[in-house]
Amino acid sequence: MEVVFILIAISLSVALLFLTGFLWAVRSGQFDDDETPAIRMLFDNKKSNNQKKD
Amino acid sequence: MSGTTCYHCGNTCDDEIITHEEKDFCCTGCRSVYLLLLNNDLCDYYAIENHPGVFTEKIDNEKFDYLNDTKVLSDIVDFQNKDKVSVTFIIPQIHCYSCLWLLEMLHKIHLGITKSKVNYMNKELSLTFLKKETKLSQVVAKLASIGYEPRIDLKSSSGKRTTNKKLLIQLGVSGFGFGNIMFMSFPEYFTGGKGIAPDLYQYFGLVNLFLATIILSVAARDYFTSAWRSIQFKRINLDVPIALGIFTIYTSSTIEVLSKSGFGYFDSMSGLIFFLLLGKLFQSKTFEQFNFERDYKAYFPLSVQKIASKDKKTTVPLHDLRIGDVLFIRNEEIIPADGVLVSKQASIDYSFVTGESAPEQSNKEALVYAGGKVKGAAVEIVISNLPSQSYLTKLWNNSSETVNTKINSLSDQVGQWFTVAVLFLAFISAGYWFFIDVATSIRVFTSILIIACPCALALAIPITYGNTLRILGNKGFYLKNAFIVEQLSALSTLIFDKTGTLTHADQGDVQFSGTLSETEKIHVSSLLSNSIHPLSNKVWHFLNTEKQVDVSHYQEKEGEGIIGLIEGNQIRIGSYHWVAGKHTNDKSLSSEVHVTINDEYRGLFKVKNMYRKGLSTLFKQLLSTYTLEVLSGDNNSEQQRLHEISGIPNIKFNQTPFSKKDRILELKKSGNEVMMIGDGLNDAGALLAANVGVAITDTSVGFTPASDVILEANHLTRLPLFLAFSKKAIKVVYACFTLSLCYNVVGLFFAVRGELSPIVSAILMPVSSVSVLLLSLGLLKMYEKKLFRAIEKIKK
Repeated sequence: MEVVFILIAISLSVALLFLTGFLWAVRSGQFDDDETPAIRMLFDNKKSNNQKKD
Repeated sequence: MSGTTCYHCGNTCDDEIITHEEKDFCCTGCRSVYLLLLNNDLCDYYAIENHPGVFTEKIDNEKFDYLNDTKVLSDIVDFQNKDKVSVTFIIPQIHCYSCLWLLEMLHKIHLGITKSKVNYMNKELSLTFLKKETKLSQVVAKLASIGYEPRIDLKSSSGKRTTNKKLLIQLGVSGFGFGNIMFMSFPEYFTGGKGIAPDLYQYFGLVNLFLATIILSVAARDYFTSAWRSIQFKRINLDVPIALGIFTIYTSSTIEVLSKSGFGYFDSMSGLIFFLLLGKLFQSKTFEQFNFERDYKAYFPLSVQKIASKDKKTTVPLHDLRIGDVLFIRNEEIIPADGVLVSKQASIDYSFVTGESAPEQSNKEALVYAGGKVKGAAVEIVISNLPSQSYLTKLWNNSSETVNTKINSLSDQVGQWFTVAVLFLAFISAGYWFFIDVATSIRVFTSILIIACPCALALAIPITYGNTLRILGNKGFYLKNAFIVEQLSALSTLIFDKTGTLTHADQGDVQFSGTLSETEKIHVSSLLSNSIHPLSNKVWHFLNTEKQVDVSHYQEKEGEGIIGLIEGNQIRIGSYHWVAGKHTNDKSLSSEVHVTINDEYRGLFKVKNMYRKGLSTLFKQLLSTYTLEVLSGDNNSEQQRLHEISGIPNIKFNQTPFSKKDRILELKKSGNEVMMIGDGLNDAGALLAANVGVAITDTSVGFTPASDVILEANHLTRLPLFLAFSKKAIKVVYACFTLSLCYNVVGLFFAVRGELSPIVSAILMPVSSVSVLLLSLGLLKMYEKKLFRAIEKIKK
């Protein structure tokens, strides 16, 4: 039953890893703009018609 | 055929309609942008939103040349190496998804731009271009030509992002802690500690203590600092009970765990902090949305006279000003932005900025600052900084005599009373339970503090008022700050000025009887151009001379007239008393503007007043709820006509600015709440004296920090609707209070009996906050629709 001590330590370390990941993402500016990507996603991506233009 | 809308920008094409392939445009500018997009296969711009274009005036391509200077370049750009340059601009015209789409397609329109990215909420455009293909001035010129001229502020500033980062970090840490603590608390939930060895049990508790300490120091510290600061000022703000609750749970749980007597309530504490922070995030998102709209439309409509090329003066709204523009600022007008004096001399009153009432004399090339009021002859300045609406609003709010210090705003009153009552209840109940069971006593204390959290109050009031400000601003009624809403709902008497308020400030029938040569007409007109009085404007429009000459020793006496020296001649223009030094016995039938040159009487301009449309309906609607009065500085020639239009019994003429102010003070003393509606120039004293001062503006305005509200002149007929709306806003606030009180009463009922587990109360509190928020937003939306419909009816 004493293995639980180690298991808890491991689980907390993994959780801490994820927290560090989140903090890094916030600091590097990935959450600065969460509105625009949502809008951008909805635009049609017309493949440029290079043949049309001369 | 009127009523055609431009395909590009949506404005009505009144002057001329330009057609191209069955599409109508209001001007060649809009059509050129359309053609540009058509040729580059970018017409999806029009598919995404209706009329997404922005109407722009013709730009002068040389005005961006200063951007090629290397020093300027290094100030503005984010990054540059020998091949490319990266720069971020603020583009205030971004207002819809089409703008976003087009700006990210810039690489198709302009050779040299490799990529461009928009941050929609912050209205920023970041782009990169190649040095060998294009220059910064060309990039900016291209943006201006499609209607998205960037705002170039040579001082960098972007304080918005950092606060959200901190909040996200705190949210992440508290969420991490919350989840893991609950995970560690499983033994407690399932077996109550009986199923495992006591050592193990304590181990779990210690882990929780460790996590909780991290959360406390990172995520909860703002509440503690805010509560501490407020106590230092001997006030109790809304963060005090929250901080107290968190602190209590933490210490009591720590003691329990360390003394091995229990497990503690760290799960409740971390849950509480997590939900509180979530609420803050939600609040900041809603305010972001308000700011987004506000920047584009709802700032109050200040305009100035700008001198374009060839000495032509145009009226330009503040947010269209650019560095390097030359402005023409007249007597009693406020300088909107820092700049350099072009005229030889100026006399500027900085009382709104520094409180110094003695005007400063400045010479050519001297620096002048935003907020200063021009006294005397008009001046020309070239602006060196962009006008800052927030700075001017701050001046507006700080302007000296806010007489009403005894009016405690609603939120202050309720907040303090409420917090004291809750603390009182908490101590009494805890005291009662202390003699029965200490553990329950502590639980009761903390649950009361949590469930009775006044954060619903803290959210409801600013959101309701903020929303109200925005809605009213969109319809032409601009409030100085949120608390004016309360004062608007409590009014009993309304006082109107006549000239410029009930009458048009610049239109009206003018007739001249007397003798003036052509040169003398030019002189008179030049003198008049220095004044912003409505009568000066009307006569100036009537004279309509092309040329203007310089005026020296200009003086204006409010309510009387103006005087100045032009090419050696002393000219007086104004009331008969002003120009002739004595009163006239003639009964006059309209407003009169007399002229003397070198003390020789030359004649008079008879100005027939043109009343605004819709006044009789306006007064009929108002008379049913308020007492009305008209105080006019003019003569009583129009007494009969005004009586017929308004139906108001109390109309007084020949009022000086002082007698208006006295009348208002008299009314206030007898217990009335008074609103004064005037044009801001002659009525500054009266506006200040009233409970709410409303300044009417036509297109070009003398900004009056003495007013509390700015109302667009052509929307005067909407006044009853605006007043009714503010009353409804107060009702919404009361509704939110009631809802939050219900939650509190229900929760407290259980808390006092010790039957409320802290975790349930920790969840109930954000639920109450969110529901109060939704109630406020929902009710206001409903009232906004009603207001909108009522305004449409007036238009017809």
